[in-house]
Amino acid sequence: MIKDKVDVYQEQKELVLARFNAISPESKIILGGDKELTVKDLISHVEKGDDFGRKIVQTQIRMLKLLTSNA
Amino acid sequence: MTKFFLLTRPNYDTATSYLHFFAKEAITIAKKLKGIHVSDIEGNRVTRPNLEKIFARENPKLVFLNGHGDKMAVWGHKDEVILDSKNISLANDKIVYALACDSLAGLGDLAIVQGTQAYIGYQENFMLVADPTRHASPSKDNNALPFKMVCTKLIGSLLKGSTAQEAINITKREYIRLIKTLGTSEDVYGDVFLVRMALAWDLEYLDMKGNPDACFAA
Repeated sequence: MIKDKVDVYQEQKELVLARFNAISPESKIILGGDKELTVKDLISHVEKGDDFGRKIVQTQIRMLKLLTSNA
Repeated sequence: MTKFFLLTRPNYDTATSYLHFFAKEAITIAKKLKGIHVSDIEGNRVTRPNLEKIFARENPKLVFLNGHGDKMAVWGHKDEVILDSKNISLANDKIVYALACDSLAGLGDLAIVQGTQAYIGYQENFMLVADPTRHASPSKDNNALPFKMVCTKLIGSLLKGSTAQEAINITKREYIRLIKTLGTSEDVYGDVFLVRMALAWDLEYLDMKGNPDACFAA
């Protein structure tokens, strides 16, 4: 029996980071306010686990669920 | 009876140049439909006095605001605040679609309290992906095309008579279709990956406040 509690968020975070690390770190998204964020910036937010980083993880996991669903 | 449709399209930096281009399609759709008068405030004319003047003169029932924003305001040309707590009462009885960051979270609530029928927008930043080599010509930017498609789907649905909630549902389905169908071949720079990511983000945070049955055609 597995006794250790699985840290689901940590696993999700690692999955999202692995995906980000597979693409060019200089590719950019445009955010409102004419801010630009590189993939490197996105990785930094996810690694730090700040509010924005956690939201990125959450939306990425939902997107992966969408991609694997038949709906 | 003629219905009045107002849109604002500032165009002074990269993000607004894309939104300016996206929203042009709304004008084409509105002009093809019968009985809609379009007021297009664009470029450096997107100022607070101009917005207030058209609200007073035409009393548009559908208002489509493009540009930057924050939780409590939508901005016009060069970040001039054009709609905030002080003049949100002018949106009384209207359907507002704000393609601007964050404003649904604060101004959206206040708008409903002040009598706006429905306020559609984003709870967080609106995200988009553009090809840096195409910033000068958004119409040729394939990375930005999916974002134009979802924005057009929403405003087009409202113009054609969908209720606010129906328009959101239609648009969310379009987001999902795009996320699922974008190709991944030859994605050397990760553009498709990022486009999907940004679409998923926008899908998550698109929402509305107010009456879900509010309808421009009613």
